[in-house]
Amino acid sequence: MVGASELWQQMRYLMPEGLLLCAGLVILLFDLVVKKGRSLYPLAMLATAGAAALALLPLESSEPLFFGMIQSDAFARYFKVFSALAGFLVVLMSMDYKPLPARFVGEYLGILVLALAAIMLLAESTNLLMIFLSLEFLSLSSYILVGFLRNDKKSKEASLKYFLFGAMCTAVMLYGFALLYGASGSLDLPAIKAAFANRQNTPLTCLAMLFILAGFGFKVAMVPFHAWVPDAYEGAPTPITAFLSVGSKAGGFAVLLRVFFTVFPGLDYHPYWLAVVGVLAVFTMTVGNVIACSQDNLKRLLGYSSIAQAGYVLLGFVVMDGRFTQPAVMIYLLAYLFMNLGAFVVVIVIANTTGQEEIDDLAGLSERSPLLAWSMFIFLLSLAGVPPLGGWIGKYYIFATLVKGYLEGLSGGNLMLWFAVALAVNSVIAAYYYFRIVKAMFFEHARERMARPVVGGPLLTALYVSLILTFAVGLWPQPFLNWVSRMALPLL
Amino acid sequence: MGPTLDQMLVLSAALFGIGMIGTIVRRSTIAVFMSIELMLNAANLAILAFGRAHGVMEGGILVFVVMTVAAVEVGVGLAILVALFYFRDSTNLDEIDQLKG
Amino acid sequence: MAEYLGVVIFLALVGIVAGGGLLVSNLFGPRNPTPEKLIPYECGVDPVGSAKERHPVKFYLVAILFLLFDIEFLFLVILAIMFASPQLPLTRGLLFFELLAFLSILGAGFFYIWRKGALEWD
Repeated sequence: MVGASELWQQMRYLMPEGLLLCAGLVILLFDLVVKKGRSLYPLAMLATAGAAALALLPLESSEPLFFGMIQSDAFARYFKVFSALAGFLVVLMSMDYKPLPARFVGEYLGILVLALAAIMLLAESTNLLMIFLSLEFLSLSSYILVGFLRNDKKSKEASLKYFLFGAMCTAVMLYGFALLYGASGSLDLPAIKAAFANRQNTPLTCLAMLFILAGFGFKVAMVPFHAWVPDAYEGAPTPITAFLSVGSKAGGFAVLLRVFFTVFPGLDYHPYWLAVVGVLAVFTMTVGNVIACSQDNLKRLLGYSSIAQAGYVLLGFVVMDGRFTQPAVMIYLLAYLFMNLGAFVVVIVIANTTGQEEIDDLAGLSERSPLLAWSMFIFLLSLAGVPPLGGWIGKYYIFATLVKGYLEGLSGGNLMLWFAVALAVNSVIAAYYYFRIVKAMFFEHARERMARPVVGGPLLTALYVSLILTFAVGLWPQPFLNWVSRMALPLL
Repeated sequence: MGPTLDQMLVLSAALFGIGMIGTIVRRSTIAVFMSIELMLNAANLAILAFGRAHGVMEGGILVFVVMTVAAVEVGVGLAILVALFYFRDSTNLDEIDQLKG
Repeated sequence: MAEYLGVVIFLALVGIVAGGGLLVSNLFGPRNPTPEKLIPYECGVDPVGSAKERHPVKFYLVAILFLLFDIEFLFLVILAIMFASPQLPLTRGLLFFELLAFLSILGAGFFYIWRKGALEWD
């Protein structure tokens, strides 16, 4: 019998998400009494910053908590820090985002903070029930946030498309859960692993894993579950686009890593699985990069670029070796967080100035605002993987992981070399469309009526934080790498 | 003596298939919602059938949770649809085509 | 499969009898339509308008809210069953506390939609 005191003890490990959940509800209730929604921004900033601080406290437990629903280990703590940090920057970005109606700021912030808590819960779930619940929590909040712009048909349409696609993928994933439950007789991930450890697998497990991949692939924008990305990214309020591209994606990768590292090694089909994931990853990055080349809308372009980035990260999964895969994926996500959020900060400033988000709106940005132009230049270089920036470190580790996997003769070694080649080729394609933006900023002249962009305090803070950390991860990667390696899931 | 595991699984797979085809083929948003519900309930049926075959109960709780989440999902979906309906007097998916490319 | 033969024959007979009746009355029945006969049957009362009218969108809102609060009470059933269960994993006091916590969050949601004016018809 678990009593109040034990449960209270276990609650310590849930402080960051507890804080966010309470803050989310408090913000929603305050919204009823507070007339001006803007006064809720400090509360949301305090909550996200507080959650980040709490998540940095070394409170970890290798024991399963709450009847095996949750495991608040170092790995989960990494994603808690990640999510709170992303949330803080997104709140900063929202403060100066003009199209957001002031009347609904309370609801917006409340739902955003709750979605951050959902990412944290997703990263620490070790039970299929809890995974399903937190994944849906995150998805449902995201659907609402995407459609948040009043009187904007695109926003509503994006929301509906996102919803329909998401609901279908979730249903497929749930069917996968049902099959996995049938094959193993348990919903608990460690118990499922134990059930697979000492017997032959059936095609049933294979089908189950394929179905589950649909749900997780939807969250991380993996081809062929990427169709929602461009529309949702274009229609959503820009801070929410930024949130989807880092927060929701990181949540998907967190749960993917946990399921891969707990359930997959027990499967007989293990090597085939890695080939399947690798091929899907190559498709993901190729589709993202090739279609991005023909985009004129910045948010859409960054959407396709984020599909491609998801493909790079997925390649890290091909080498299912705990020493390489997890640090590579985690450092990539960290670098991606800062460079992508930074790029979206610039998009917000541009949209505030010209009212739209086309590449043409960037024309002559270097004359109108050198700071913005050079920052965007840095973020794009980092996204393209040019040294010595954060994105380069991430890409380097993914690449090195594949090469190491080949050299150490892991199963499917030759395939890994091909995957590494695909990664290199794709980086070149990506450089093309990133350069299109650079060309517009530096080599084209501004249209006459274009105003000088004004960057307010919050956006400037977000810009500087992103810029400094993009450089920091690239120039002094060692502390970040040490930290990330310590936060990896325990090896099996 | 109830239905066997195989029978329940066949029924569940059939429901899932019908739901899947419905979501892809149907053009009315409401019909797509209904098809998605069908898929979720097919999964529920499979979970209950497997739970009975294994003699474990934890799947039953998952079914309760899925039912709740399905209701919430419909709530959010209908709300989005109503919001979109203000702009465009139709729920036909073919006519929702602002975003492309 | 042999035991299903009876069912198949039964289904075929149902089809023949029902379909045959319709076919025969369609072929040989007298037919003299009057305007009164052609209007939809609504328990003998004259119809007031088209049945395909649009419902006000407010019905949707009420339906959504009803659905959400209705389905949440599923969990009260689970808690009630748990309360009587002999192998309860936690103490009964804690279970009761959890019930209260659940209901208060639900109550907060209700308070929220009430104050937001979602329950007002006009």
